[in-house]
Amino acid sequence: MRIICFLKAILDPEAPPGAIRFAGKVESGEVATVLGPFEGNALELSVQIAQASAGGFVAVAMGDAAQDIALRKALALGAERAVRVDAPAGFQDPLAVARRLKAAAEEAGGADVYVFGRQAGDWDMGVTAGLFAGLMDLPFAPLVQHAEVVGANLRLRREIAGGYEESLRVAPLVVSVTNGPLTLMRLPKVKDVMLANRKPIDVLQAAAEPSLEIAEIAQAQVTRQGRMITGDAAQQAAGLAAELRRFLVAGGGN
Amino acid sequence: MGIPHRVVYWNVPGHAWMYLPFAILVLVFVYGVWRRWRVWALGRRVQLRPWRPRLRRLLSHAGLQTRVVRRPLQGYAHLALAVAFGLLFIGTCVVALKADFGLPVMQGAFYLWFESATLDAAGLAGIVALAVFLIRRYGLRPWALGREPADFLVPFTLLIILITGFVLQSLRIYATHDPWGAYSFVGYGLSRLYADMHLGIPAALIIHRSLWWFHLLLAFSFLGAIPYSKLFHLFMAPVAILLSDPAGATRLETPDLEHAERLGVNMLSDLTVKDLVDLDACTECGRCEEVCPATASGKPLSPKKVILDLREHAHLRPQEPLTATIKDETLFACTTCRACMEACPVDIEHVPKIVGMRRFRVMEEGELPAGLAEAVQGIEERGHPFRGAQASRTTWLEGLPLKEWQPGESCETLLWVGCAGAFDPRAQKVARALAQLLLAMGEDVKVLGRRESCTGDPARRAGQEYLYQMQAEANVKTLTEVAPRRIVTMCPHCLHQLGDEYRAFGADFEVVHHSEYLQQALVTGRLRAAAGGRRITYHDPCYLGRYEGVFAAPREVLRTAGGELVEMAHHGPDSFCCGAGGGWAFREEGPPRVNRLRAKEAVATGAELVATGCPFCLSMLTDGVKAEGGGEVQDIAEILWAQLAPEVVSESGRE
Repeated sequence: MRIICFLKAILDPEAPPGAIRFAGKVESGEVATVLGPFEGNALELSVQIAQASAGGFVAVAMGDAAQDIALRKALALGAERAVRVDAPAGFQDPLAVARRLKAAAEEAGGADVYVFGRQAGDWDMGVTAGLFAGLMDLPFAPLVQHAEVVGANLRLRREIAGGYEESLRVAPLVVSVTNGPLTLMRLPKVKDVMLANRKPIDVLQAAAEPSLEIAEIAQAQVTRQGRMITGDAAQQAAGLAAELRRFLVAGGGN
Repeated sequence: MGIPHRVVYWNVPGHAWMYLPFAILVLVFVYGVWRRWRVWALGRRVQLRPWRPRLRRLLSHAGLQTRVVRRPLQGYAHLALAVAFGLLFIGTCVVALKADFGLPVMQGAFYLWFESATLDAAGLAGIVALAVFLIRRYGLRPWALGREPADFLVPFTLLIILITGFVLQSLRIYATHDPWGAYSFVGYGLSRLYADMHLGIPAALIIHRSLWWFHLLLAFSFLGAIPYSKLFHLFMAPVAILLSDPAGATRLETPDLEHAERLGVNMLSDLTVKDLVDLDACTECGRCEEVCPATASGKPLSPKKVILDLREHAHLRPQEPLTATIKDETLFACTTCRACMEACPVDIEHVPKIVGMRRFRVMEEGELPAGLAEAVQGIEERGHPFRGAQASRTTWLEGLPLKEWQPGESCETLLWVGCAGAFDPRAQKVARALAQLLLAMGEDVKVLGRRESCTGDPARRAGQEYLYQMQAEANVKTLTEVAPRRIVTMCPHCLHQLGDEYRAFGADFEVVHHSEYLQQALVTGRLRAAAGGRRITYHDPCYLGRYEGVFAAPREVLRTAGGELVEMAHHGPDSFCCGAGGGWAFREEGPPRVNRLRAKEAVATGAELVATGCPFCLSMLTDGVKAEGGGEVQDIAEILWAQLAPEVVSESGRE
């Protein structure tokens, strides 16, 4: 099977509070750029499908050169080719992103399976995969946690309340991948990392697309309203009851 | 009576036949050595220069057996047996010189005092030593000693050889009425019994002749078995000692990854000659196993078994990958504490082999245990291994008059705080205490702040050498630009990297651990501390003690500022790991946890305060001591800061 895996490197979600400032725009300071967590899952599933079907995958990311970190990881894990759709860093309108990724996918010759992470770990909108499927007029299987290759098709698994749901899907299709025990990204071999660092990354110029823009962004104000109720168990219970009564009287519970 | 002497082979007319079994012995022996040689020849060559420290180590560890006698009972017994057999070997050579070459060497005073009296004393000492071995192994039954058939056969056969030797001697004295017999005092004593037993001379001659052949064949069989058994350590232990790193193999090898055919160790040919000789030098004494924290906490790792399994692998399946023999759960159980290497009487280097095999698993196969993988990924992505850290590199120093170094500035004292000091909330307090001490000393002290990055030590110990080398190169570049007069660090792992292992990357910095720097400040009067009245025990961090040889300085600081110092059962070079090394600081460990075992020892001293000099030990011991119901755990910097003389503190202000 031919696979295109869409990746995104994001500002380190583990950056300590306050390291990224939002004052009109995003100021990332010294915060590192890392592969988004669900993109790691998408990459793992792409590797698995490629291996199981004796196929291959192409990795595509969109943004500035900071995205190369994601593409190098894909190359280290066996991507045949890495493509970066050149665009400025920062917020991108999901529909514009989906349109540009569609153009990149067509440039790459199309695929049987298009793999996305469930959502980018920075803006957390989670709509690009669905929009891409719509633009491509392909079926969309979201939140996949495991894929089994069955001939030219895929048996996909996702978690539902109380268990798993499995469905046989006909390629070509679009999937979005979420975290699970079977989509934990493997460690690349160091030899492959060394080779990946020498491989080229193809840069595509993105066509202009009508796009939403962020006019302003502000930091949420953190206020501390918690209060410790001290004393023995009885005093704590009485204190809690009194607090709750006050809260309800003040109209906080409606 | 004439010149004192004795007639060799006086009662063995066909003694020339002994050259037939001797020839067989030589063939069997040579074949046995060749079998092992084939394996050593696979290894990578070892750089032997400079020779002097190696020869010194050989004399001390092999000649004087200084490491063997650290366990006095079995140690001195072993030394006695070695000396005894050395003397008996010389005695046998003297017999050969006389019998085979006709040299008149076995006569006169030499015959009486060496060939008779000294050799009898040696034989007797040998019997006592062997009795100690047998009683210890089968009477006292220490758990780390094996009780396989060969473990019994070796000392028992030697014992029989010595006893039959004495019986032969006594029969000769008895039958020949040897006028100088009394010099062979053991044989002489025995010969006196035969008269009481009314043993006839013809019978004595027959017994002597039969026993002579038995003794000879037994001795030849024993010699022939040497290259096929652990007895081979007789030859290989000195070689292993000679090939061992005189600096204790504390610095791991820095391979050229760009040009390496294979990353790490997975075939015998990836090991060094020293590594392969080690396998044949092992005496199976079990000392490594006794001190191993992984073994003590029930993990599937015994340093002895690793060596013995590799030995078996080398001889039975030399062309197979080592992963077939040494499993991941064994490899990754090691805390790299070096206790095994410190305990080994023949300088076997366990840790470099284990890390070498880890390198293969991590770099060639992408395998790394959970927890450690995330820590290593953290180093790669954000320059530190602490996942979910809520701090930045400079959060810990907020409010302190401490400057970050800026390009173009000079730097007198650089405080390398380390990732733990920057990101671990408990270690941040140590970093603050240390920074304030340095400021109180009036030091021109700076920190690197966001320019500081993990030394890569956790990655290197985990086997991710590639990432380590990138970190090392970047840090050496930064530090070369900063060019500090000295670097002070509170982390022994950083100390070992910056001061030692970074030398492979061209570094040559003066790096001191804060315990040494503070102790010097107390000696020179730059710091004055009020004496504390508490009972304190000090835990030696492995990377400060066994790796860097710093034992006295932290104790001096504690004596000055702490109070009464009491030692744990394991301390100094014999210290017991806290359980954090080798990447374990970032892994989940099931019970029984190593830190609990160490905390038990700390609590058993009755100390109110447990002190240490490593942020990782601090974290492990804090958990362990709390669980064991003990008192507080603090770094020496915190203890000193609390006891600092008021006039010094008033100048800088105490927090």
